Amino acid sequence: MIDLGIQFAVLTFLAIFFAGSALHKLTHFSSFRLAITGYGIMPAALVPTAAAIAASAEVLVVVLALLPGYQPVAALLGASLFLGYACLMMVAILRGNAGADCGCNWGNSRQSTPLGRPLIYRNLVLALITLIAVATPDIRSLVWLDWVTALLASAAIILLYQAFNALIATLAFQQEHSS
Amino acid sequence: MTTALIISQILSWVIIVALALMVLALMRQVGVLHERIAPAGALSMNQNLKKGDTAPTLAANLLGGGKVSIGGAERNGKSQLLFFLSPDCPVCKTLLPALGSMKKAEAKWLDVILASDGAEPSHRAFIKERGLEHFDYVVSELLGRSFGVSKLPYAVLIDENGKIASLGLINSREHLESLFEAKERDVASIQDYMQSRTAS
Repeated sequence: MIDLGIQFAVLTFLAIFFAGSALHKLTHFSSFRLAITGYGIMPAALVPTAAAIAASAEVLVVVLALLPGYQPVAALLGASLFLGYACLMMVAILRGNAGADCGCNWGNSRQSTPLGRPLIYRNLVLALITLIAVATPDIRSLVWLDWVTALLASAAIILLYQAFNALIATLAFQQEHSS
Repeated sequence: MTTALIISQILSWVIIVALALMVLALMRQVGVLHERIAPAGALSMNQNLKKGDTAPTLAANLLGGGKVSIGGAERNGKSQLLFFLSPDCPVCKTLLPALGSMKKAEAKWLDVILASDGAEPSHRAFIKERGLEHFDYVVSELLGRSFGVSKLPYAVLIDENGKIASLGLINSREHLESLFEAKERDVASIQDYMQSRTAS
């Protein structure tokens, strides 16, 4: 049992995060396909299908997070996506593709965050945060302060996510220069 | 009391968001600074070729159709810049705008050729994605091997007589420009130039 405000905040984060992510994937679809190709984990013929499935799953998370009664399902699907991406990154790294662009910069073409273990840890943390929303909330009504908390907490987590990606990109750039 | 707690709660969140925004801005700024303070001058690390050698001559198929001859003495007074890249190389992507403006600005004396190897469909997607249609784009493993390319992004400047003018590993716009600077100063690389200055 968790407080309704906490579940609401996590779901708001989930909806905003995957809406932004899916929007980038759909508007820069060829760039996303190129990023998946760089992972080197599937035949080129399967890449467009895999890219479409990933983008559709993200849209589904957003829709489910907004539908009353389906929020725990949205949280489970969201956490599965974070963990699924982490597994794909792990496989790509094991296959020697560490350093390929992760495709997770929401269309920021100046920044390229390379695949590496820190991104796997990042996704595990995001999956853990998301799983909080699977728990049953207590019975109370949402008040306006819950909305303020949810929106600002989501903004803070997404900004820190982008800052983390920027840090990893900088560290990779530094390593490339010192090698 | 409740009003004070509500105000305090909202204020705390506003400050947390502002701090997260500042962290993001600082991270990006650190990234920009790293790019700027990278060692100036392309690092020449080629075992096969050095400045003054005759560049390997070969004819390669362009991805957009047609052929291009690389190296050779018949250059019509123009130099060639071979830029070796890969669609999944992050640093290569950051250099594409610089190459585009360089191609335009130096068109009178320089032909810029992008070179890579691997499956053609991914290169075609890359060209479309990055708007590289106006570049001569060659996909040839032989070309990379002939020029001894082992790490990307890599560039080779071939002068108007078909000789290697300068070459090296490129990580920034400054590295790219250093190839022209090295050609102008008639040194193998900016590192050589700096060393000769220190020695004298």
